[in-house]
Amino acid sequence: MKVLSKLKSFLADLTNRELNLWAEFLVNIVVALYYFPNAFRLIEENPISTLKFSIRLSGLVISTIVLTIIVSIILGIIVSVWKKPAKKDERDYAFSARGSMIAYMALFFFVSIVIGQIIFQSFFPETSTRLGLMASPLIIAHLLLLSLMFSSTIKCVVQLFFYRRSF
Amino acid sequence: MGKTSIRNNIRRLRFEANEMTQAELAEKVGVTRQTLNAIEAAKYSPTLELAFKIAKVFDVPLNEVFKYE
Repeated sequence: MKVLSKLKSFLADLTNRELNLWAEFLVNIVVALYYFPNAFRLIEENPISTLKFSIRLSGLVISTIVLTIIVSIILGIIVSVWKKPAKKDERDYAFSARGSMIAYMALFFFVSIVIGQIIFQSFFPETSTRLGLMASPLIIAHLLLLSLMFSSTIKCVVQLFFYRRSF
Repeated sequence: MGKTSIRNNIRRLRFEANEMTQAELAEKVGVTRQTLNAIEAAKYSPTLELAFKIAKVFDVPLNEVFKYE
């Protein structure tokens, strides 16, 4: 009961901007949970690109885009009905800038790891195969995509953290 | 972003200005009520421009609204 009332007061205290960030965060999570396990499974099942594989992957990409649009619209409607949209002010821009800065650092870190893995793979192909680190261009593309999603999620989390901390 | 070293008298000044609400002051200076609440609680340091706007609303010098400790 106490937890429920705390949750109620937390939700009532959220601003439109925070709710939008939560919505963005949820969209990122839903899309990542839907797309990446399916994509990696597809790549694993079809190591050599075939027409069938291309069609299945294209289908997955299209369904992910549709899912993103649907979830974004639903959450957008819920947020705008729940709390009136307010004009962004300097605090919003300040937190957004901090979020971008930290997300950039995270993206830099993830991309450096992917680049390092590519270099390692080309220098030591035998060791890479033995360690299971051999990555195809498609896997590398997905790792980069995952890095983008990670950094986008980190940006949301950082902003939400600052909004709560500065209250 | 915890408490800042900048203290302010906004609460007192609001009270003296016919008990102006946070929402009213926020609207006058062009920010959200949450931002004004964070400034008042010394959890967010405003830009110089916003600080001057707040002082102008109360018609007092800046150092009467904000002080650095």
